[in-house]
Amino acid sequence: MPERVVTEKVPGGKLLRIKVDYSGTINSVKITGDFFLHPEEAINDIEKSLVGAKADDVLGIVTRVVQEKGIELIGVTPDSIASVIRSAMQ
Amino acid sequence: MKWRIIPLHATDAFTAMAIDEAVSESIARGSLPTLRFWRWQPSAVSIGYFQSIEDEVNLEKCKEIGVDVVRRRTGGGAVYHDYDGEITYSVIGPQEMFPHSIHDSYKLICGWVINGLKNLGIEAQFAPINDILVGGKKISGNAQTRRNGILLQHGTILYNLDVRKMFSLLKVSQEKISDKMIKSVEDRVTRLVDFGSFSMQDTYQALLKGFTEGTEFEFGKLTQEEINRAHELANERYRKQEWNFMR
Repeated sequence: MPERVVTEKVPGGKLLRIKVDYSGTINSVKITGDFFLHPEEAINDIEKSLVGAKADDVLGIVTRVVQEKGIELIGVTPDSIASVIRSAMQ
Repeated sequence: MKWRIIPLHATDAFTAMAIDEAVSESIARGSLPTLRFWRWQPSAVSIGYFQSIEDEVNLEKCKEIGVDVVRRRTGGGAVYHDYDGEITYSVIGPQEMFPHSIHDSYKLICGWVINGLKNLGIEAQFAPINDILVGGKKISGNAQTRRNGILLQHGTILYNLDVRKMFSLLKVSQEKISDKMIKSVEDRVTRLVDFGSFSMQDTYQALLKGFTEGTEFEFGKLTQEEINRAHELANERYRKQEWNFMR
């Protein structure tokens, strides 16, 4: 399946543009946008941890990585990230 | 704590990003917290850490008119920085000098910008997450990162803006660059030139006073070590495709 891109402005927050390559499970995901995330490099941890995930696992994985790595999100939430990824998987 | 102030200067986009990082490293080793004011020369587009350069920037147009493009190490959005259109500041210091909460630290530093604008007779308000507004319109955007115990916040104060030029450089579909859209940006963004005939130098002096009121500071310059490190970082990271095209 080709890469799908979904763009969404988080209400009261920032813009998320997520690119997902998906065939039953996630092959790769790229989370882009004008949000803030500290520490910045941890975006790679979120993206890598989603490889192989099914749609139903996405929110759990994002929430877990954010907690485990002590990631601080500004302008987006684990829920909004997961929701846009799931939209791209439909 | 005493601050080092680096007075208004001009630098290219890659070196500018590299200076912020080189100064962060030297502060991590014990140098004075630093405030510097600068302008982008040549004019440039910067994109946020998490943005895709190809999604945000008309690279062909930038190349054609000699506008540099660089990825920042701070999040946030794509910005066109015109040499004659804005003043940029960087605040760099140990994290413990600032509130722990990211929101509160934006509020504190943006407060210094607001004080500076007040010195020009302009009443501005902080608009979370990271903007400053005058009369409900954006005049300043700001972005922050915290690494190795050091906080860096840089931000721009809009002095003038050519909306049509901005749209030609940022990737907005051509059909959106209608008069209606330009009008809508003009409704959302404001510039210092809308409030009086301040020179760039007047603006700098007003901002400097706003940032430093009640603090101890000395004017300084970059050390040779910082300059060397900034050149190294500019060449090894900020000018590189691997960095600018990484997302």
